[in-house]
Amino acid sequence: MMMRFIRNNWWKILAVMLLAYVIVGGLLWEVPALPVVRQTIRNIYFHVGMWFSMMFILGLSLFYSIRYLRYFRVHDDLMAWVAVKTALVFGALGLVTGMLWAYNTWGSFWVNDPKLTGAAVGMLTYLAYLVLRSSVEEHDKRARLAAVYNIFAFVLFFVFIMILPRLAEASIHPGIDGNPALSSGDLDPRMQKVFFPAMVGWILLSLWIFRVYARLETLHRDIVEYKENRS
Amino acid sequence: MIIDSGSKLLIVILVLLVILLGLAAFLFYLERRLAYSERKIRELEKEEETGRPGEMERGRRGLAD
Repeated sequence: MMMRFIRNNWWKILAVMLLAYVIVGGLLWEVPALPVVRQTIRNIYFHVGMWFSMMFILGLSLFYSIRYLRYFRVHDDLMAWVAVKTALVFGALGLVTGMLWAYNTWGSFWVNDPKLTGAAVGMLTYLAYLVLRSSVEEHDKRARLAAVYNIFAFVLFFVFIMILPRLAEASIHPGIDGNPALSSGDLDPRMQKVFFPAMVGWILLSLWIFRVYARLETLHRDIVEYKENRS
Repeated sequence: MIIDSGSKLLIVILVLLVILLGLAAFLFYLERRLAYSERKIRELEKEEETGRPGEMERGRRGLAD
């Protein structure tokens, strides 16, 4: 019984263990004494984790949208929608953890910076996806429109958070010349032993939450269909 | 008990670990409830097609196979 539980849920258990390791190691182990950021650098394990999780789930959403346009299966449209909603939760958490970090290092919750503005506009693009999808009554038309928009939104999102900020002359946000938190200037080797497990842990947790939410929405759809068939 | 700054941090870590474990336990609980509901709706659909009560319903009513 116990072995079967572990076999069926090994990656979820791994996620919890990795995140427990990140909480302990991330808050207790030594970090480089950087000017301005000082001990707040530990937030990198949480703030960047939220963004990586969001991007991973947005990637899943893109996959389901492309699959919908290929096979026209209603389930794929539902999964793409659930993925966007899950990703937005992680995106919102990424914004909040970033704002708290900004307040403690830059002295303000929000600054007029191309990276931050790009992130906000990118998230608004996905909020528009939700509005667009809910504004169309007819099922097939809604699914097709949403899938096409989702592909554009994914491309636009990366333009907003990665390409446009690099074209700007200057940004206060780190990682403007490379990959945020992944370049050698951003991440001390001492922190890598917590950072990489943190990213895997957060991505696995986001996948877990997405799967639970997807099953819930699928069940809801099945109940509605069952009731419609009965009446 | 005297709590210095070091042990205060340990309490923060402990609280975060409890929240994480609580969240994981809640997700496992939700998955169990979902699995039950998924089984139930599949049985109801099957019952609708065949006219025979499913395994769960027979168990609930105490009917033998």
